[in-house]
Order: sequence, then C-alpha cells, then structure tokens
Amino acid sequence: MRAWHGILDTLIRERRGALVGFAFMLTGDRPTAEDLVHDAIIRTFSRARRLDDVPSAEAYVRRAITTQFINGRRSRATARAKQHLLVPRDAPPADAHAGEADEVARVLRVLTPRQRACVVLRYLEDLSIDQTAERLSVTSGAVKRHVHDAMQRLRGELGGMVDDAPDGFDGRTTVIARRSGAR
Amino acid sequence: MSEELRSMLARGARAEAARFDGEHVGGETTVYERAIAPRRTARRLIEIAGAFVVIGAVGVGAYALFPGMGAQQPVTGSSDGASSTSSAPTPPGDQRSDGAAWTVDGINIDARSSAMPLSTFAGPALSASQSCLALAAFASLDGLGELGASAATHLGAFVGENGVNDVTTRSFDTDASAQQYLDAAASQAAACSGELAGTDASVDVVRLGLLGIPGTAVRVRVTVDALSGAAWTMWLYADGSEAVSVVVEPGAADSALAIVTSMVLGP
Repeated sequence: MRAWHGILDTLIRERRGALVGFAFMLTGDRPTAEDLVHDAIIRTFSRARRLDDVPSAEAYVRRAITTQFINGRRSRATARAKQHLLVPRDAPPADAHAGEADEVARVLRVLTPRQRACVVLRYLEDLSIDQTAERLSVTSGAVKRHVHDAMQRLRGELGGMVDDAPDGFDGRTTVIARRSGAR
Repeated sequence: MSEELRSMLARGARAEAARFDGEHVGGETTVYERAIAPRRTARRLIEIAGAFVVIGAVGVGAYALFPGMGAQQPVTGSSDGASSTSSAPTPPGDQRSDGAAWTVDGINIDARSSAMPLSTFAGPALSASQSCLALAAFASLDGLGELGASAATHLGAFVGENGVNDVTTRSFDTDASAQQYLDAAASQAAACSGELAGTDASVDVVRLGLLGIPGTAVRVRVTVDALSGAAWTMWLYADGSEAVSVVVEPGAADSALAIVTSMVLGP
C-alpha cells in the first residue's frame, strides 16, 4: 500500500468530522458542507503532490474547502447529486450535537459568504489577518473590512455578546457617506 | 467579544463534527480511493507524457518479444468482457464517485454502461481458442492477482452514436507487476493470433510506449471479417503501478487517447 492510502485512511477515520465541522461553520448548510469536504479530499489526494503526514494533508484539504466555498464552484444542485456517497439527507440530524451546531450556523447566516469566511478563518482557524488575506486571495484591508462588517452584523444578532472591536481592526470608523433622513 | 466568538465557533464546529462522526462510524475510505486512484494515475501520466509514440510493433510476432509467457492466462471467475469488470464495492449512481460529469469528446461517461463483450462480437470465431477467449479478462483488467494488485475498478463507458468506449482502472503493487500484466496480455493476444491462423478472424497486437518514460501500452484489435472492417479494440496502458483499460466497441470512434488525456487534465 502506498503512503497516500494510509494517510487518506487516517484522515477519513480521524479528521473528517472536524473538517465537516469547519465546513459547516463556513456554509451553514449541512449537505453543502459535507460535499465540500468530500470534493476537497478528492481534489487534494488526486494531485500527485507528496502528502507526508495527516496534518499537512488536512491543511491542504482545509485550504481546498475554503477555496471551493469562496469560488462557489459547486452549485447546490451538483453538490446534492453526490449525496449518495455520504448519508441519506432525508434523515433528521441524529443527535443533540446538531442542535448546537445549527444554532451557531443560524447566527452566522446573517453574514455574507466572504464575511463568514473571514470570521471562520480568523476566529476558528486562528489565522492572522495577512494569512486570511492570502488564503482568500484578497488584501489585508479587505479582510479587516469584512471582519468589521461581520462584527457589526453579529452585534445585532447576538446583542451584548459582540461588544468590542475585532482584533486587526483599530476600532475607528471612518464614515465615508451616511444617509440620514433628518438634517 | 473575540474570545466569545472563538468559543462559539469552536463549539459549533465541535458539535457538528460529533454529529457527523456519530453518523459515519463505518470506514468509507474505499469510496475515496476508488475516486482518487485513477485520477492520480492519469495526472502522473500526463505530467510526463506529451504524446503516445509507437516504439515497436509486435503484431503476430509478439511471441518473439515475450518468450515463455504464452501460456500465462489471467485467472478470473468472469470470462466475458468489461461489463463485468468491477469487483470493488460500487456506490449507486456515478461510479466516478465525485458525481461530476466526466466528458470526453462531448460525451458524458455513463457509469452503468459497458462495452460489448468480445465473445458477443466474435464468440463463434474465437471459441476454438482459449487464448482468444481469455482476452476478455484482460480487457476488464481481471485476473493475475498473484502479481499483486487491487481489484479492477470499472468507471463506466462513453456511449457514442456507433458504440462505446469502456474504461477500467487497476492498481498494482509494483511497477513491475503492472508491466508483467501488460506483457501477459500482449503474449496472450499473440497466442490468440496464432491460433486463429487459417480462419477469417485476425488479431493485431501493437506495443506502444510513452516517449522517454517507462509507461507502455498494448493495443489489441480483433477482426472477424476483414471485409467488414469492424474491430473490437482493447487498449491496456500502464505507467508505474497503475493500469488503465479502454475497450472500444466495433463501430465506435476510438477515443482511448482522448480519454486518458481527459483523465489527466481533470474535469
């Protein structure tokens, strides 16, 4: 058995759940998250690159998940066409874990895909502003803006939970234009 | 707020991971391997091969090139054609496993289709030759498990107007095993050709190679009636330890090279 077989097997057995959790935070949609992970694993291992260990393989897969999510390369219809490889989708979430994950996903749903990606990479993956920008192929300024805007939205969603400026953003707001009904 | 957000995300991701793991307790690695192995094979082939180059014609004289292998036959329970190739677990639906349509020359692969078995095309003409009948097993990359190999994986067929191109892959344990398999196929085809001497049927065997690399291919073309021009064609190709088979039905356009190229370039 060649090396990639063993790494793939370990990744599938030990890390696929974590990858689905990561993807679910990105997408907020369970079937799409599972399909993203499925596609990312196949894409990662299909390339003839060296995969020396599980952590490096997982890093490649996470990068692929993010890229595919941002690029929107898989339409919902295409993704659902692959569901036979995973689990029956008609079945309701099997356990109490689903409720908690769904609640977080509901909160994140107020964000745009790019805002969600920035938040997840910054606060779940613990990437720096620059690393997040590199991962998403945008500028650091764009990441700061997306994170800031995300925090504004989350503040509205979570009330007092979000009450200070995100790191990487200095907290000052420069008003470029503001519409007001009153003079 | 940052710490709270971190905590919320970590909690959500952990909960989702736990849910998923709870629903997927069985090993599903095989499903992934079946999708990945042929793609890795194809990518490697294209990385090093610009084109197929004929490096030698074996023809009916293949015996001279493969002495001592004439008696080697694949051991297989299925004796009839590529449609019975896969012995690996098969998910329903798209057997390429990624669900994305794989298109070559404007035709999507159909996981449920397979090529006409050799025996259907030329059964009566070949029935007197065990060597000829054994070619069907090579077409489906079956048999010779003692060389060390995984089960063959039937990917499906490209169904054209006049016939299909049927695709199967198989991973061998070593590069030498894959080459031995191709050698055995060539030798078998040559034996078949010899046994058909004096009949209307004929078998043409050509050994092909990739320019500058160790990868090789064997093309076997079986005709029953020279006047009709109809031929059943089997391409066996290997680089390293990975092998690919493309069976072209009589009348179908031969898309073997396009199929290999497409596998490498991806969807």
